[in-house]
Amino acid sequence: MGFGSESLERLGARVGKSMDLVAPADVAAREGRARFLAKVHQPARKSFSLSLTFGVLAVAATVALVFVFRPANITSGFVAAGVQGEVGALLLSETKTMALQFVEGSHVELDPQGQLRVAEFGTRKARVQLQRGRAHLSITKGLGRAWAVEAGPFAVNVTGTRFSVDWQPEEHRMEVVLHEGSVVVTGACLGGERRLVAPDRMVADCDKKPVAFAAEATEAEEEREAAPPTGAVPIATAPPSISWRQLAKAGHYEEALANAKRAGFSRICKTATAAELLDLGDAARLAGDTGAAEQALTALHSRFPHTPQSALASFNLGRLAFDQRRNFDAASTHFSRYIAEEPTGALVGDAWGRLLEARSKSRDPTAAANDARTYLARFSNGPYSGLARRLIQNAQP
Amino acid sequence: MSAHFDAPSNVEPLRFQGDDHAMVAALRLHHPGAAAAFWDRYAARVHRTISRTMGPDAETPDLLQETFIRALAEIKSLDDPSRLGAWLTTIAVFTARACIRRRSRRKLLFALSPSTVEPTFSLPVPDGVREGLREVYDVLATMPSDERIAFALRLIDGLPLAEAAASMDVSLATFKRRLQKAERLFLQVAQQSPQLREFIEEGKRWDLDQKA
Repeated sequence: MGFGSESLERLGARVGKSMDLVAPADVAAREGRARFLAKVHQPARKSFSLSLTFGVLAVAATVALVFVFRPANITSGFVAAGVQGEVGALLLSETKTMALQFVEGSHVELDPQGQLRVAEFGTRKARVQLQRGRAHLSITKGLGRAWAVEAGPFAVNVTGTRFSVDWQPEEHRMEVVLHEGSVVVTGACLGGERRLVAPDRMVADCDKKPVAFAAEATEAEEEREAAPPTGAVPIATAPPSISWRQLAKAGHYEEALANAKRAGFSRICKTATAAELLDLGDAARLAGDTGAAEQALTALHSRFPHTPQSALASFNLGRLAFDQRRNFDAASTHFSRYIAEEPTGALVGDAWGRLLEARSKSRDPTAAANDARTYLARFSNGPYSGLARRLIQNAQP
Repeated sequence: MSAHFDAPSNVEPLRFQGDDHAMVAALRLHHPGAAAAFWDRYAARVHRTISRTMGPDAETPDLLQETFIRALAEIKSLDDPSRLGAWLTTIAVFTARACIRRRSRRKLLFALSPSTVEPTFSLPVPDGVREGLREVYDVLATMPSDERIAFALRLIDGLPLAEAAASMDVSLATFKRRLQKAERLFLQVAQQSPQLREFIEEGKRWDLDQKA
């Protein structure tokens, strides 16, 4: 037929351009960035036995790193914006995030439009004064240095943890979001110390009495926080779903699911939007909680019928039934439903493949043959046509 | 240098800046901004290599992640930092190849499983493009992984021969042999497929400007 390398080169070039159209690289890079960075910054999980075996070595290594192999460019405590930091200097992040790296391994990131100063950095104590804006802190544990973040009349005291502090001086409002560990918050208008344990979130506002503590605590924690001396009451400054969605988007599925459960999983299933329920189902599935994933997806399907998200819920329920429950009859039902709901949907090919596979494993050869005939009528040379023909053959007496 | 700033405009954030040599050094030292800069500089290029090798495939985002995570884990083994991009492409190629081989093994283990993975289109695609991609990648899926990758790197991604050979970590002669075999296999199947023949001959139905 006379095709040569040139014909294939032309074809290849068209395939390449088409792939750029269906899977734009810049979009993929943008979408995958947060997930990659979350993985990079995620602390490595070690087994207990490993920790036990190498615990002493790890401590020795930490000491060596801090006192012997400290980075050459950090000579007196910390670098800010790439230059040696000075205690007491006012640092302004302007339009971009500013990163501070401390010799012991602690990090501080100041969001744009923020101001802070490192007021003290000694062997026993470090003090950061947040003048304005939001700072994210990751404090290295176990080096005997007590850290405090001061924001207006408040102080957040830490030993080793990961958290954010937002201080808006005009509003006299401070927000602490705790991701790991625990902190103690003090302030004249708090009427005493407040201990927060991850994943607590606290909003303190000295202009509004009583001081308010909010959000993602367990019921017991909410009760504890609900009775401070100043008469604090729970408030809903932000929907609880925001936090679990952010965690899910960053790839922290187990934490996202834990947060959603703390905020009331059933309530979220009753009140969340379709997109939120789809995300919740994905987070639960990827966290390995099949029951929770099914609950979210079933709620999505029943609350938002005849929508693309509802069809996706059917598809994902089919995956769970197939992969996790090994319930092939249920999987067949869900995949059939997806095909009926989205006959030209993006996943219809996958749904047909999964349906025929599920049928091949179920005990209903008649249903399998019927689906196989429908598939062949639609895709006579489709990738599953061989499987479809086998299913028809198996059903014959 | 001092970090004492009275004028707000003097402060710049601690973002990584530098060439590939500096980037490799920064990655090895776990510079806080280096991983982000590494991703920003190379993610699109790596994605292009993976997606053109795999075709429309739901696993491509995972393979992109896997490539970068592996690269970070192995950054100390990179001898020549000026080859960072090429080295990363090699990791991407090997990551994609591992995925293809994993699927082949699975196909052998589960005889009833589908012979190929159904293409996934996350964006609206003109029918002609969808059909064309499906035809081409269905054929590629029947090839041995090394030949499939040689075909994708040279003919779809358009890499020069030497660069494509380096990406597969083989000699130029070996790469050429694989490419020739891939072309032969592809054309053998094309002989049997009127649709594919039409795509190769004219490309009339493969109109990239057609609306989805």
